Amino acid sequence: MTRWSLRGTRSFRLRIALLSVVVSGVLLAAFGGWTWIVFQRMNLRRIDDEIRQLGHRHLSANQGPEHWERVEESLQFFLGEKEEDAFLLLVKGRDNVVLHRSANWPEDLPPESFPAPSDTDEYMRVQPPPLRDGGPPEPPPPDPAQSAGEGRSDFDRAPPPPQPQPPPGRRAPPSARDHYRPREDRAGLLPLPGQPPPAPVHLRAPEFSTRNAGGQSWRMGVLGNPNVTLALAFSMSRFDADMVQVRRAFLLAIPVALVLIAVGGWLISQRALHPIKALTRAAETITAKGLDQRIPAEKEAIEFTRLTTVFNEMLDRLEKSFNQAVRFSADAAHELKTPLTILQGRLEQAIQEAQPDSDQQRVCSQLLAEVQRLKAIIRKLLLLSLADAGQLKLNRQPLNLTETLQAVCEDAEVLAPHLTVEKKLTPDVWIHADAHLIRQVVQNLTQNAVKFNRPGGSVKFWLKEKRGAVRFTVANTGPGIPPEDRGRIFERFYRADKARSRRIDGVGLGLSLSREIVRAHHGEIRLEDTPDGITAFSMTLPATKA
Amino acid sequence: MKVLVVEDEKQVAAFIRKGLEEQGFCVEVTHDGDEAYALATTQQYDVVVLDIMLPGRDGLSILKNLRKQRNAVPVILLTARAELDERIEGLNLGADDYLTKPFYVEELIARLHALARRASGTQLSVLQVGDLVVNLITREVKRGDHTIRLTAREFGLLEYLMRSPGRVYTRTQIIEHVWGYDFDPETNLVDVYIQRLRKKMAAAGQQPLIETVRGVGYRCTKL
Repeated sequence: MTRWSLRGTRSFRLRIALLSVVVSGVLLAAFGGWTWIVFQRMNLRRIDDEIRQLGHRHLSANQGPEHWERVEESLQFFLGEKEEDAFLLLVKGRDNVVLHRSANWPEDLPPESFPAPSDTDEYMRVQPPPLRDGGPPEPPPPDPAQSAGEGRSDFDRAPPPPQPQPPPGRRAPPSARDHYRPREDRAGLLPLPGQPPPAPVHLRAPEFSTRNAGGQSWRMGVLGNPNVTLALAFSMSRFDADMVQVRRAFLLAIPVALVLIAVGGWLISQRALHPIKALTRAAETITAKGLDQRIPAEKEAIEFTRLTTVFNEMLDRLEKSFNQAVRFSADAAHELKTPLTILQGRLEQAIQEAQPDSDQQRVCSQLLAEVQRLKAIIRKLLLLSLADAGQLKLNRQPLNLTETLQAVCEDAEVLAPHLTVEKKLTPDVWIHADAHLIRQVVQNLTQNAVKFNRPGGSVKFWLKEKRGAVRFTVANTGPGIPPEDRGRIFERFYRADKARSRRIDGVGLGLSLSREIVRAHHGEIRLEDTPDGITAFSMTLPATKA
Repeated sequence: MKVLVVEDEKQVAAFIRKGLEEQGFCVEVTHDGDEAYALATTQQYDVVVLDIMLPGRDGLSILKNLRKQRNAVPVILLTARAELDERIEGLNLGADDYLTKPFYVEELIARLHALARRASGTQLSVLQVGDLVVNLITREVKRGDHTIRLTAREFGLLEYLMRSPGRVYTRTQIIEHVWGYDFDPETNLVDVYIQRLRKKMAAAGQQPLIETVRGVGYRCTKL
């Protein structure tokens, strides 16, 4: 089973952490962008409202140039002295006459670009904004024009005393009259309380735009009545600075949040995967040999309780089918063995009873050989099925492997007098093993080495003991195993040479059974990498002290 | 020697009976577990050959009850299952030996002889045919005064043939017994070894003791 590693995207934990970062990153970015846009719109609308209100107020009636001077000064005061370019004001009368123009009006914004009032324009009837109720905390000194008569419109008011024109580029200090107006009372430019609501006026629909002029950006509103066009612009620099700060806050906060989310996701997934880890660990210990084991129920989370239950149920079925398979092969073997016993016993008896050198005796002998072959196949299948179920039991005894191999080498010499047999066997190598089964492995390897040799070839045997391991190698000359088959030779019913080996070995079970036997001994059997024309198998087993 | 054979397969029981009777055993056969238990507890036998899978009482429970009653009659278990557990269980329950099916009657006879020897206290560790003497303990082979040096395989082969002189052994049987189950029976291995054995023995004595049974196998001359 795959371990929870950090390598690549294979780690589920890493993926969970990354996914949470990506998802929350997108969400945060979307939220930030949306907030930013809303914030910007709100600000612009606020500025627009201010422009509209101011414009409407002062357009309610026709007023002379002095009035606009006054408006400029009061605006200058309210927006703060430090703000050199806090606002712009341009007033045009009919026939393109500039009635007023702020001293700081930028050159690249020609007054001609603003439409002069004309009769062809469409005007709408507008009720000027209502008068303010809560007046300033310090009431303004009585205005002579105001006290002169109630019910008169602004237009009818006497113009204020003319004020000296400020030098270009510099503004005149705010007048004492403006001084006591509270700062927040920008709308204080509205008519003072106590006046009757002004009569509806005809105004052009205001047009708002953001313009770049004189090295900064402006929010400009163009309003007008049939007599005057008023262009009023507030500087966006403060507003832009606000937006920059908001953006900076977002740019700083989002990465920090993402890092925190990544760490959080990592930790949470660790916590979440803990039961999976426990499950994995438990499952790893359950092999074919320990199918009766179960994973302890996970009590903390209901999802994992279910997983554990399902897993254990699967183990139940697995154990059942394993046991069934084992029992089946044991039963099958038993069922086959009884008729074989009869067959073998009868044949044996017939051979003894038959006339010496008779046909009957020879036939019975041949049949007995076939019975022996059947027995060998059944035995191999039974051993393999036991090995599959992890039930291959070993009758371990001390075994002198050198002696066993000497006998096998002797057989090889007898079997193949045409071959050169070489042996290098370390004397008195003892192992703790099932003698019967290990002998079978060794014989299988030896027989293969003789069987798949070439005429005049050779067979070599080595037995070495090294660092707690016993290693037996048998190498032979011959056509060898084709590279495409090298990975398959330990498979069941595999034959290197299909046509040839059928006659020789019955079924291709020898090598796969050998591997199971060696594995059951905690050893390893493998095909060595050798040059062409040589095949070598080696068997490595744990050594024991003599 | 009186032997009780408990085996539910009638044909198996039949050839066991025949093989044993040829060797001079007195054989009684039963196919049923309960009957077997009744016989074993009431009659006196020298050996009981007991199949494990039986109708009625099974072999292991018969054995268990016999031993519980302090009945020490030697028992050879027959089992079709080669699993180690069953063998060990049988031996733990007090069986003296076991044979896995399919077995050769000859093997059963050899085990019966061995059991009888053990019971009578005479440890027969020497096989003798004519002037050929084989010591199974020291693995020494002598013909008259000449010592014959044999390899492990040659010794195993000679010992096997000498166990039942006069009995015919096929090549298959010899291979299976001396080399193991899975050796390829279609080799000339047996013939080569027999030739070697004959050569070594001929140098030490006149009489050829290993006869060829043409087309079948070999046997040791019964003198």
